[in-house]
Amino acid sequence: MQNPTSNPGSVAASPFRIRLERRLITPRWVPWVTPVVSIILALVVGAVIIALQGVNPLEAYRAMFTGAFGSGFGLSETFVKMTPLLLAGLGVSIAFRMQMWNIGAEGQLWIGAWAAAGVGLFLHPAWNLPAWLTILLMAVAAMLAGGLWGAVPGALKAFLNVNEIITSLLLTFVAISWVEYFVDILWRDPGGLGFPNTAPLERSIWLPKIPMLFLPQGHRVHLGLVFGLIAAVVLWFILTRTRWGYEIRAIGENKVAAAHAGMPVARNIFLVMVLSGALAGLAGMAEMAGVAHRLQRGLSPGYGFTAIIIAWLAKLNPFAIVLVSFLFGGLLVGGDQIQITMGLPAAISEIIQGLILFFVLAGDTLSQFRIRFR
Amino acid sequence: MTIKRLALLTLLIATVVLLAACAVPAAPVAAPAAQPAAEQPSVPFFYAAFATPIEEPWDGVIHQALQKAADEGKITYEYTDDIGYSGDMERVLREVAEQKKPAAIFGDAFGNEEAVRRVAADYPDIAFVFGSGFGPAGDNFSVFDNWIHEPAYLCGLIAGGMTKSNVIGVVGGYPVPEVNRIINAFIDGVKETNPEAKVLVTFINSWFDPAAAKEAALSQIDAGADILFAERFGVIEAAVENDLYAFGNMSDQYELGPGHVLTGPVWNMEPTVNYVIEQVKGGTFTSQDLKDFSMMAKGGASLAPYHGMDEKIPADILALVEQRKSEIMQGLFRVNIDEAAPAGSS
Repeated sequence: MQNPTSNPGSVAASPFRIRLERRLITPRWVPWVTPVVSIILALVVGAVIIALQGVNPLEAYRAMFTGAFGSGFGLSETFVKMTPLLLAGLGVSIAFRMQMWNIGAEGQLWIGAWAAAGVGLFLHPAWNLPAWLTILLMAVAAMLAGGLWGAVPGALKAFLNVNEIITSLLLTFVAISWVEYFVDILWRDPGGLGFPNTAPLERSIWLPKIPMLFLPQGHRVHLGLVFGLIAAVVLWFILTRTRWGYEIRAIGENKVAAAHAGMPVARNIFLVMVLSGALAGLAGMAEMAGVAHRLQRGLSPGYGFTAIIIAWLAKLNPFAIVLVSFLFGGLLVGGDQIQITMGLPAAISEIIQGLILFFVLAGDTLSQFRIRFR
Repeated sequence: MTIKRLALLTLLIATVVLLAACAVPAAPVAAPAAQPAAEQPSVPFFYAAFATPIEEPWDGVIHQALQKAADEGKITYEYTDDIGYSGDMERVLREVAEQKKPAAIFGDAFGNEEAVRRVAADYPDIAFVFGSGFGPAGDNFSVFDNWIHEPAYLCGLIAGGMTKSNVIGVVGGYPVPEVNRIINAFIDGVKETNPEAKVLVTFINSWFDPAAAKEAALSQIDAGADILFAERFGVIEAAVENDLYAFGNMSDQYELGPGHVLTGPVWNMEPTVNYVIEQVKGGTFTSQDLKDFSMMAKGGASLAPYHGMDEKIPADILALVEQRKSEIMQGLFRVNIDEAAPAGSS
């Protein structure tokens, strides 16, 4: 994903030589067209796959679309699904801004969910806290835990120059195993027959639902969505209106130049990774306290990884991330829909996600390089 | 190819796709698969919603029984699988209830217990039949579970009668009631034919981790175990590699280790499914615990076929197994149900 700074070389073995040549000028419109084109191309290739399953792809897409956006219920479920994607997507985007490849949002999300569950399940009854304070503490605990999980690769990168891609990714597996140990053994609900999970949170400390007039009764849209929207505005403000945001962008553009300009590069790497992890941790808290209402295996099917695709597709723009996570939430909801109505495997929506990322990356490369055949 | 040409090409494709999309008349998304239900109104339409892929043995047993009923023309049947535990079960069930309007929805509620029960309460006209460790609810939520402790006990009789080292290994998933009662019944069987035998029990704390299960089995073999009960996948491989006998679980697993798998407890959902079909057809569906239909007397549990391995089992043990089997079937012998974590498990 990192912009190659030198010519990536050529494939010389065959009589055909394919070379990537750096473009001297990238037209201004290209960065904004590639995401759209890559989504369209992904849908076209996805259509071929759907057609191979013996289903009319246009009907499948229409069913996906109406399932996700065509009814109050579908729309509300899309909002539910976009919430963790939005928060985690914002988290990774701020790190990516600085060319810090935080691949570990999934682990930061899990550890955030774990910390929030600890506060809700144990601190809340033990200290007899009021519900609003517990919810606040759950959010703070989740951000601290997620921030810590981001701080480790951040510190290793900032002070020892250890590759953050590897450390953040590997810490994801540590986080998931850590949570599973608590879910399976230490915090397992003795009353939960047949399946390992913690006891449910007390009803009063579930994340409150957002009242929405046009959504059906009993919808599940919760306060986490508001967290996400606020976070988007805050990130936008930091990036465009503050000195720190300027430093983040400058370091992302050219680390060496930023250091020469006297910017504290190492400190900013560390702080950005903490913020990145904190937002992913908040995503975990929102999912735990807003949807599952307990800690359990399978809480996240990989929101933290999907968030990477979302951030990239949105060109790291906070408001674009809101839009793209809404679309991806719809993709998940619509994916279930086509399995029900058309008998297609639900994996279709994952295939489309993968195709979108593939075409975005290809498009980014092609917008910076031209291919030469000789 | 320049980027301009590439963009032009993609734009062209997009236009074609869009035009094609507009050209197709906006037919309502009539699910083609649902039509058979309309053509044969006498046959009820059943749906199943599984948290795991149907390749997973537990949900696989439910799916196979429903598929068989559909193949026999008793019901029409569709399913959705791999729904997972990320809060999607509730939406899927509501969509199914609204759009498909099935007569009954089968599935597993484990890990999605509250969501499933919430939806069931909102759709009182649909029969909900779910695997669950909890009880039935309302007028339309029946529960079932795999009550295969009886054949597990019979396996224990065989294990006790065949061990030479007097050490027997059991590898289970989680120490939860439905696993505990299978393992405890197995241990009861062992103790009956061999009071001296020691049973090692290891839980891998996973439903599906063949590598961990195999590792646990290998360390039990190191500790002297010469016969293994594979409550989970992976153990039979260890038995084959060490030329030992093993018992499968849940389905007939002889093919996993021909010449090594003696038999094993088998779960069969057909009696449960057939009973629910009759109830739904007769309009008499009520919520109840369907556990009896997963036990031996009603054909819901059995000992896997021996595939000729009965030759390896001592005749007196085999006779005892047959005797107990018929006693259980006639209700003359009751296998103890003990859902506490097995003694000495790790």
